[in-house]
Amino acid sequence: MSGTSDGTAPPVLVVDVGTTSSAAAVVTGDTTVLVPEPMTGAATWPSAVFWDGQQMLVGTLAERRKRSDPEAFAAGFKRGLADDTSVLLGPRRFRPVEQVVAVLSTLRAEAERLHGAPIHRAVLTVPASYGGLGAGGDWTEERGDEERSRLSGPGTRACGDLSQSASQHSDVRRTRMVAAAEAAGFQTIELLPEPVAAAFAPIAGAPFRPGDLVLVYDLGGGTFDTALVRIGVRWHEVLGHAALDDCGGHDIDALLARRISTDGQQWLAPLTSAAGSSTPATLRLDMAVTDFAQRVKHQLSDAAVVEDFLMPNTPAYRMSQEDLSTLAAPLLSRTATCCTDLLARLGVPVHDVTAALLVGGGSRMPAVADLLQRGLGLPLRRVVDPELATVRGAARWVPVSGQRRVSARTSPEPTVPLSWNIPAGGGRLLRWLVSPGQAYLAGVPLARVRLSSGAVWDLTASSPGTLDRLLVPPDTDVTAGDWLALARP
Amino acid sequence: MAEPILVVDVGTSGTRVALVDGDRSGLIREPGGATYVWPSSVCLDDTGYLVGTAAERRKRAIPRRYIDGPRRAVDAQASMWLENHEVTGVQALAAYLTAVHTEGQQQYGAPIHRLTLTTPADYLPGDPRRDVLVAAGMAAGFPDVELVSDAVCAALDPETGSGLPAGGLVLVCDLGATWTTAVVQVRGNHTTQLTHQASAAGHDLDALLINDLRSEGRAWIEPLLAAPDDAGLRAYYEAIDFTRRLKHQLADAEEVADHLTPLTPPYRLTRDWLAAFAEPALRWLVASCLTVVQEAGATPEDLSAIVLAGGGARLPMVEPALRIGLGQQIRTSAEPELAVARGAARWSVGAATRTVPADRPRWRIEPVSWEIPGAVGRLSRWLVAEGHSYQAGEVVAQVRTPDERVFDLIAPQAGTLLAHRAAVGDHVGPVLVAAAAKSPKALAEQPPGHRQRLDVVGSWLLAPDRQRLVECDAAGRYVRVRGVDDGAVVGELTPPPGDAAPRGGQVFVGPEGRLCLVAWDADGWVSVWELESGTLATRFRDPSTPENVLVDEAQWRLATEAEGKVVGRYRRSTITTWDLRTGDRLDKVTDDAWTRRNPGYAARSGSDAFATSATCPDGQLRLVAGETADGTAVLVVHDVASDHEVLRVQGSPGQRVRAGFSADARQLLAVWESDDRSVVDVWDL
Repeated sequence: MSGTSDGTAPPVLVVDVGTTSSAAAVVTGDTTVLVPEPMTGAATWPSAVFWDGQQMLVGTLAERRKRSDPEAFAAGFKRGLADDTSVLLGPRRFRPVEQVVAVLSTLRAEAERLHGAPIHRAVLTVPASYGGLGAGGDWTEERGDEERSRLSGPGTRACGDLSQSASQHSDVRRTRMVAAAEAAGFQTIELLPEPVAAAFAPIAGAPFRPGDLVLVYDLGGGTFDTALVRIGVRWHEVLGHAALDDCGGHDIDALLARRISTDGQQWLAPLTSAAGSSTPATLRLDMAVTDFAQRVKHQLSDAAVVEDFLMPNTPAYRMSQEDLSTLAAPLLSRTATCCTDLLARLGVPVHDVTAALLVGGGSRMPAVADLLQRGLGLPLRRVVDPELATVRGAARWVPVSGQRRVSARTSPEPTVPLSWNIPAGGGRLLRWLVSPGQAYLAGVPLARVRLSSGAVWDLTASSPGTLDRLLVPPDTDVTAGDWLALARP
Repeated sequence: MAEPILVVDVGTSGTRVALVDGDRSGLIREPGGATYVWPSSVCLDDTGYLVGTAAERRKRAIPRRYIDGPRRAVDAQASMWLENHEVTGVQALAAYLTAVHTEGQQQYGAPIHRLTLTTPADYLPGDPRRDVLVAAGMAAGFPDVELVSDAVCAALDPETGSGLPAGGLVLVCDLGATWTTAVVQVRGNHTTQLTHQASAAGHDLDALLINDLRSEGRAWIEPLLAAPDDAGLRAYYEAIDFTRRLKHQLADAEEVADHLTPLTPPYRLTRDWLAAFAEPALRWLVASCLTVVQEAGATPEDLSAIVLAGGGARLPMVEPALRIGLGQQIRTSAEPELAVARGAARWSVGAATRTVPADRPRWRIEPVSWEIPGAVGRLSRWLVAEGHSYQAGEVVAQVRTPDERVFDLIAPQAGTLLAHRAAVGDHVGPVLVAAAAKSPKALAEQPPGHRQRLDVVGSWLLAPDRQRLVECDAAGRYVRVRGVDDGAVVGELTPPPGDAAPRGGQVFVGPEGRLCLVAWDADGWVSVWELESGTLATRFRDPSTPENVLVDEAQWRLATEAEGKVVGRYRRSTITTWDLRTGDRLDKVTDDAWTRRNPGYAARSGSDAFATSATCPDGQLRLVAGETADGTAVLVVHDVASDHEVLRVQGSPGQRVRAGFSADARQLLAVWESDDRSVVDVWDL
């Protein structure tokens, strides 16, 4: 199963399902192998699906087919996970969670092919905004005092409404991610917040030290996410997070595409009129312009000026890094404001933050670094492949986060469970009158319960013994016959 | 372990307090107050809360910061305003209880940690107002707060509730500010309120009286009430107290008159007028009594008692109205407003008896427990189903911790999972426990708990249903039927003594599985008693005074064997057979070989479930009762699956042993018989 008794670590598939692109890696012990997209050989897979009438194509296959039937193509479905309302792909309707299942199944199949054996365990990274650990979640009530005070601190308030709504139920998106992974054939699924994963990614230069405060700046394809994390050894604590759902690299691509359309009106106009009234043709032309804009942007990551051609027969299009910076400036300044707002809300002065960690494909743009340096005045730390930071970090977290095997307690003396035939079938356990380790005689009251009628009854020992473990804390509703404690006779 | 308990009955206008210490209890007076009734008043002074008489004294000075009845805010589930301070029900009640607590400890001379708080009959289980009462009690410094319904307390009032049969129904009419009727079933610590109704009749009566005062004395009272600022409110409170006083005086007088202030004219009230005012309330009361009795599935004739309690019980017209309306005698005490507090004190005296002993641990079950990392998690799945076995090192379950890590819970050694005891999705921690079957080796090392040993000069029979154990005196003087689990006597039969000395008795299983005692005496009388009904089924006499009595259970016939005449060198036995259904004599033969020819006749029941071998109803254990090579009685139990011996018990010399399992597979029973007595051992499995 997920643990083998001979000590060899079972394989784990680490998956970062992004809004626009996904990445996966197989972790075996300390070894991490990225799962490349088989069509392109790239480490990232487009988060895209295409229904060909019989099966769901995923990744580049879907991207390639989208020109043939744009209406059977979908991307960005991760955004729809909260509502999970189905969308039409060609003739059939699919729920976003089913699209995620398709992506995960394809990744799993490719990973198992690569690994040469079945993989039953998965770690999925999820945005920090998915309620749960960072945002209160429904664990709050059972946490220790230390934990509770932390949760009631400014960090939780930062999440505002979200933590309120999440306090009743676990965020449905987390449940859906787990369900999707189960449907994709995984048996054991763990979730890891994306900024926590990113902060585990290997960075250039000295690694972060425990206690450091790191601002994770994640400019992805579809969204911008930022989070302040406190570095730990096995776990980084998310102190607060914020997101802009309409502020990703693709939004910059769209701005650029619009600029290209305007600039190239002269040579684009005839093409548009040639496409005429045919809807698929117009869609195809739009897609081509968007792809062209992406290509130009990517080249500008390394080159100061780029000259490229939409089609072999169209004139050269020229753009410089400065042009792009100017174009992206309003969008990028919103990301900077989002960061400063987050710090202000958390009450953390900028100089207390150790560094900003730039992750996500969008952070490759030189303009980002300029802007952050100017706007925030923080030291910047980078990872080699920012779009792979999350998956690489999650892969590193797997071996450092501790083993997942818990052996049953063995004690030299036998223990017996204590249960009582509580009148009226049960009540509220008010408190324990004997503490673990304490010996008692027959007839001694061990615990006190209040029945629903209000009457208080004492639960007594029927034979002498020593209380070993309490199984139920005070102030819990208990039923007659429940095992409430373990004792050594 | 007798802990002192403070008992508090917080009423709308008056509160009663009692102190219980061990088996002693007594009402306590308010400091400075002359009566057992503490005013239920709270006043928020600049220095803090004043309660009771202190609050009553201050109310004239600061009427806007005074409230009577701190529980009213709890009743209404709303906050109160004391001038510009918002006071919640919990705060007001906690302030009141804190003062009562302080005074109680002062009088007791030591800390008191336990509180019994009486609750209105309409605060049913699950009502959030009960939580408010508990919270107020805890805020007042009582870690343990017990709630008892006012109606239950009134039914338990020792002054009116004596001599009630267990399970008897008591109709309670508790007439405070709220009038409540309820039917309570009295059964010691399990006394419960079955039905109830409440009305604001008491309030309405007071309002009618105030309105009458205002219309009669319009000329002089309206200016007082209309006075600006606090004076008007002060006058209003005075007027309420004034009418209450008059109402109470009418309990002893036909007519009363009094002055609201020394300067105002007299106001008169007669008993007739009061009766007229009270008429609608009384009509409600009688109708409500009939309703709650009917809802409890009873009629007024079924009631063991009708108890009238609360200050309203003093109204002279109430008791006759109820007596006529219900056609029954009414019980009421001299101080009906103390009834609830006295009953609550009686309830609290019994606190030490409200205990439940722990269930007997099961011999063949042992807990397997895992510490959940981080002490809390959610059970994501079981990989071993209930009733299935697992290997050492196998993953038994998976738990998801709040940080979304998933942990495998590993079996330490091979075993069988009997019960999960937590469902998928449950929050678990700090320990998750499952029930596992103990290995045969562990069973052999840890013998089962010996529950008890029962001894009789006579015989034991394990009824064919294996749920009852029958103890029979050797001479047939009594039979006791006991439960196999705890040995408690569930039925007993003692035939009336006859003229002759009893000679013998045995229990047999008659037609339709009925247990019957067959007893015979020195005069040759044979009596057959049915244990269930306690009736004598038949009786007949064999004048030859039999030596032996044999019964054929299948035919339900009996044979008496008597020493017969001497024929030549032989003394021959005479056998007489009888029909046990009718008592008729069937036959009489002299035949040495008769018993051999009629094997159905036996001196003891052939349906006895005590046997020399048996298999446990769950199929897991098998017992053999026999003798060792040297003739000592021995009981051996094996685990069926592994054929391991898990228990061996030896008897004393001269004993014979038979044994059996109870029908629910929870007990192992063995009977060790010697010539004159037999002993039963019971073990918990």
